[in-house]
Amino acid sequence: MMGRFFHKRALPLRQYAVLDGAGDAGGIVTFVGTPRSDAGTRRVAALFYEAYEPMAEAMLEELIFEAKVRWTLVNVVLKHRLGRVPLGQASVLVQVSAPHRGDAFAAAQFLMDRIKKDIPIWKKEIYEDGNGRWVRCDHAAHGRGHGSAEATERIPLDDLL
Amino acid sequence: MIRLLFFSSLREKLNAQEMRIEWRAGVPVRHLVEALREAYPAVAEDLKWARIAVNERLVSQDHAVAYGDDVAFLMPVSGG
Repeated sequence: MMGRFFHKRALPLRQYAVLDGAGDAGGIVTFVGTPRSDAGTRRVAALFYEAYEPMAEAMLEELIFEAKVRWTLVNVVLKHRLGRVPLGQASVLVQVSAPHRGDAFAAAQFLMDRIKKDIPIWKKEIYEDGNGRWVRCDHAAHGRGHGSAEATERIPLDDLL
Repeated sequence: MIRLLFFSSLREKLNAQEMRIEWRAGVPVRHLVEALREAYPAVAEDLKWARIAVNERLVSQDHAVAYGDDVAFLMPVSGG
């Protein structure tokens, strides 16, 4: 059974196009992250995500709490895909409603930044030729250049499905 | 007995999501990492970058591992 944050199938984006709770909010900021086809010289066919789910879920709960302490918010929704995410599908959803738009924008930015930097979720770029490599975005970036990845290795696509 | 958990490149290179090993209680995480480096040279470089979580909390290299702990090796993250 999946927790409240992680989905192994397409994110229920339509559900979040409905303005639930809009009566209390002055604005709703919705961010949807999607795989980008261009990875330098190579073409990405899909991204593959995995997470240390129990730890990540607990950290995301704490993150929402922290955002609600820092800004005046009505509601926060975080959703993240796991497994293979082809181009054209959403990998992450952050939706923040707040009485004032400034808080909603700031909190959404904060949440997204922290999701990329702190939460134990890993992303692998899968290229059109079937090769793949794990992307590194956090503390390693300071020593090795932003978003650097280790040597490409051949991974059978079947292993990722 | 403790349980070791691996993700991303470590999981692939070790071909294992988890391992259960006998481990003397009270020995710091640092020694566990060293033992893994020696046993699996193929992941020695990756382990330099891994942060360690014990029972889902990040810990320092000095943290003493206890019987029944889950010890997760977390490569640099890249969610979103």
